[in-house]
Amino acid sequence: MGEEGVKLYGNILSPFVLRVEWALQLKGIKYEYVNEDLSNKSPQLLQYNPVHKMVPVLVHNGRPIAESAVIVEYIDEAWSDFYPLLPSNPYQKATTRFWAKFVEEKCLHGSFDVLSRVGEEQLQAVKEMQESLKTLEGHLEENKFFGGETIGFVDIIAGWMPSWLGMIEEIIGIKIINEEDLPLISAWIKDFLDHNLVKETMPPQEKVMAHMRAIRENVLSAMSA
Amino acid sequence: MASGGEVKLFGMWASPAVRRVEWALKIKGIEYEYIEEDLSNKSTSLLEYNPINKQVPVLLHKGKPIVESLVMIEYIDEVWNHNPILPEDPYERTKARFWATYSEGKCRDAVGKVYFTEGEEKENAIKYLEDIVRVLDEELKGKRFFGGENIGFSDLVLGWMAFWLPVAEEVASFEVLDSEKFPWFASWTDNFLQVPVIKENLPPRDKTVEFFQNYRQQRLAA
Repeated sequence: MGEEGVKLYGNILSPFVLRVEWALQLKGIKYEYVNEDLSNKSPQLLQYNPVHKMVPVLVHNGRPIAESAVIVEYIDEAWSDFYPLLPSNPYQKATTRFWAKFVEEKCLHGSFDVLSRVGEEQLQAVKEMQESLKTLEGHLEENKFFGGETIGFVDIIAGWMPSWLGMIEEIIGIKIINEEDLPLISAWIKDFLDHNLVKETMPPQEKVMAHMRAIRENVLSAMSA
Repeated sequence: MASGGEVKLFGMWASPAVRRVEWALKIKGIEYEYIEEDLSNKSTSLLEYNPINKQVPVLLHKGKPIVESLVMIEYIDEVWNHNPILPEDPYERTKARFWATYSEGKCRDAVGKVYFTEGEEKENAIKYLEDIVRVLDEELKGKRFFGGENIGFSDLVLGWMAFWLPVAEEVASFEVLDSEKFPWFASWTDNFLQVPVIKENLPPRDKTVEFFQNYRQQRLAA
């Protein structure tokens, strides 16, 4: 454990937990990882996050924090002397937070729509997803990452997309990201997946894939019930 | 009073997201120009400053636009640091942001569901909303406001529930705000609406009910 006790309650299937791990590791913070069995949650998790009962939960010096984006901002503020995740300029910070919200609201929810619909509605969801990604691409401009030369807050928040969208494409049999239509996003995906930190923290893809197939199966069977 | 550059706010009188930004501006004593938008006929300025969402509120500071009400409030708090809205301590800030996320993620959806459903779906939506209010009631135990003795970020973000939830109850004919079931939440709504900066910056109740009645009818007909 680090000089100030840092514990992360997580699960390998959760992309939200990964966000926190990336933030901690980019900052060089030592932490203890506690794996949660989400079908049998520990009393500690339920005590630390009584409202949502979900991972990730970060516990720092015995005090719990829930909600991945809130945790990442906390990590940036509590360990502010190394590797800033958000810009210090208030206007640039506001822009960064806006794009993080955009990713969360349009892209994350959009991807769930794609995974959970069928037929015409699914095609519509794919189209909306592509439009959202096109808009997001505008924020990349000439940069390798949303954070510039290095991974920043928006990259962390959007970091589920490179592997998850690929898996969704495979499950539903529809291509969402075409390189000609989304050249900058495609390049970002390659650079992100190529980053050492991302490679080192990548969960076993077969397990995540199985988990996502199960999500789709559950949604489909609920629809026909 | 404190100005620090030209500040403009594009808004719509009935919108809770707009009001919470106004509350933040008023708490800081920031002078600003308010521009009322007709959302059925959006101005070219609005579309230019917020091409992505094309929505209000939009805050303009020295000609640069900021979008998303929560992002705006944090920006306002950072640029003008007197009368702080968020706590200084990073851990306390996580609590403020947690409840802000809860408002935007859970509470709004829950109220929306009750507004736009009928029959059994509506009954389930009401139960779900009650669970949400229960969570807020628990959090408020022993506290005057989410922010403690004085209103803070969570209060500003959740504050729409103090005024717009009773409006929703009237418009969609349901009751969730039971002061016996949720005594802390009920006190909070009273206390919040009595804070001068809030009390002096609310839309007229009757007009707001009428507005949301029309809005609900249009959505249900669609």
